Amino acid sequence: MAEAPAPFDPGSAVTFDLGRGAASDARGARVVFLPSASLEAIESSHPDALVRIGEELGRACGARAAARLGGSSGVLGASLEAVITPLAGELALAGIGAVHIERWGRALVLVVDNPVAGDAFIGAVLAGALGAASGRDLGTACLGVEGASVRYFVGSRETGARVASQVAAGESFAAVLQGLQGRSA
Amino acid sequence: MSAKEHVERLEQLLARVKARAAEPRPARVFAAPASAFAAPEPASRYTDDVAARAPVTAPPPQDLPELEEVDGDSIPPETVASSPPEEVQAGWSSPPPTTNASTPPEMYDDVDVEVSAEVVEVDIDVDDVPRHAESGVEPVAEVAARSVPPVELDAIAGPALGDELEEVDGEARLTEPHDASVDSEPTFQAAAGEATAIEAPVLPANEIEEPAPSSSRRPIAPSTAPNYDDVSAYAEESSPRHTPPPESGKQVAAPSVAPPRRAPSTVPPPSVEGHTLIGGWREPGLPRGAPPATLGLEAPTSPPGFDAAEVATRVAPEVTRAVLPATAKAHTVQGVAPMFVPKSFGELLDASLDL
Repeated sequence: MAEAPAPFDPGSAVTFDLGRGAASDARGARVVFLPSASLEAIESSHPDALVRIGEELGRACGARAAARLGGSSGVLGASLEAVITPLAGELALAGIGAVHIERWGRALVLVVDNPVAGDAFIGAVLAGALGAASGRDLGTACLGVEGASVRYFVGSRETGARVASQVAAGESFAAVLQGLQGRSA
Repeated sequence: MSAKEHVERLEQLLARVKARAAEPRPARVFAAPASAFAAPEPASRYTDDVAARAPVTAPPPQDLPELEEVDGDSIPPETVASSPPEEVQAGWSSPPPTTNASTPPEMYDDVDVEVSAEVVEVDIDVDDVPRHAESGVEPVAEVAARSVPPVELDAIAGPALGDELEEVDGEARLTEPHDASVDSEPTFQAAAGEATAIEAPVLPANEIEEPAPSSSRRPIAPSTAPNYDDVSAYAEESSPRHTPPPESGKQVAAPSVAPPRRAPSTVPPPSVEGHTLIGGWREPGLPRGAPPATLGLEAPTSPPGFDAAEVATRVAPEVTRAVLPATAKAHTVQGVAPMFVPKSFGELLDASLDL
C-alpha cells in the first residue's frame, strides 16, 4: 500500500524583500507578480509571446515541484498523488488555477479549474511544468471547456497536434481519446 | 287560254286552297291527296270548263294583288300559289319561326318564360281519337283494315285517270265518297288494268309510307316480322343481319344473288370506323344460345390431379414457427479484461506519451 503523499507546505514559497524591493521564490529566483489583465493585453497583441511566457512560468513551477519530490526521477517514480500534490501547489501559488489529473485509459489528462487566462497560455504552462518536472519532451492539447474547467491532453507534440485538429473538427474529446487508444492498441 | 282566264283560274285555285286550310286536317298523310277527289268542292282542277265548277263558298280573295292585263305571249302569268298565303295557318306545316323578325331582339331579354313542371294527365280514349289529330295518331284497330289505295299515285301524276273518272261520273269522283268521319272506311278501287298497283303492306300508324324507288328491289317494309330463332331466315336474306352497318355515305346494294351461306367463321367482322363490336356480334347461322365463336384457341385442359375447386378457393399460407425460449444464457465469460493501472506517474506519463 502506497504511502500517503506529504501534504504541500506552501511556507516560504515566496519571499518579499521590501528593502531591496524584490520578490523571490523558495529557490531564491526573482519573481514578478503581473495583473491578469496584462495577460489579456499580451494575448491580443502578441499571442506567441504569451505562449512563451506561459512555458517559462510552467517550467519554474514544475522545477519547484520536482524539487519537493527529489528531482525528475523522483517524479517519475512517485505516484500520481505524490506528483500532483506539489505540482498543483506550485501552480496555485503562481495563480494559474487548480489542477488535478484524469486518467483516460492510457491517456493523461490534466484538468484546470478556474484558469487565469486563455487556452493557449494555460496549455503552455502545463506543458512547461510537466516537462520540467518529468524531464520529458511533451506537449498538450486543449480537449475543450466544460463549465469553468478546461481539459488538456498530455502527450507527444505530434499526438497533441492531431488531437487538437480532431477536437476542432467537432469530435468529442472522449471519442478522440478513445480513438487514440484504439489506434495504439 | 288567255291571260285573263288564267288569272281567274288561279284565283279560284287560291280560294280553294284557303278553304281547305280552314277545314280540319285529316289524320292520315296519304289520305290527304285522296281528299282532293272527295272534297265537297265539285270543281276539278283538270277541267277546263269554268262554268261547270260549283260555286266556291270561300270568300273571294280580296287582298290579292291585281294582275295587270298584259299580252299573254310576251310575259308569263304570275303564279299566285307559289308561296303559302299569309292567312293560311291551320294547314301549313312549316315550323314556327324561332324569332320574330318584327320584334327586336332586345325585347326578349326581359321576357320571363314560365316553365311549368306540372304533369298533365290526359285521358285519351282510343275510340275518340278524331281524324283531325296530328298525323300518325291513329287507332291501332284501323290499321289492319286499311290498305293503301294504289290509284292515288297515278291520279296525281297525270290526267289519264282523271279523264277516266270523268267518264264514270262526269266529275273527278271515286266510286264511294270519302268520308272524313271515324267510323267509315273509304275504299279505293283502282281502274282495271290502268293504275299500277303497288301492293304495300299494312304499316303502323306512325310510319309514313315512302314511295319505293324504281331501282330498289328491296321491299319497303317486311311483310312479316323477322324470326331471329329461325336459322333458315338467314338463307334468304339479301345481306346478313349481323354484319356491321355500312360506312357512312355508302349504300348496301342489294345483290342479285343471295350470298353463299357462310362457313362457320371464327373471326368477327372487322370494326367499322374504329368501333369495336363488343358483345353484339354473333356468328350468323348459329342459333341463339350457342356458345360464342372462338378465335381458334382451345381452352387448356386441366392437368391430371388438378382440382379446379381447390384453385377457386383462396390460397392462404401455412405458417410454422419454432418454439424458442424468450431468454437464455448463451454465453460464458472467461478471464478478466486487461486494465491499465499505472503504478507511478512516470508510467502513466510514458503511456500517455506513447499514444
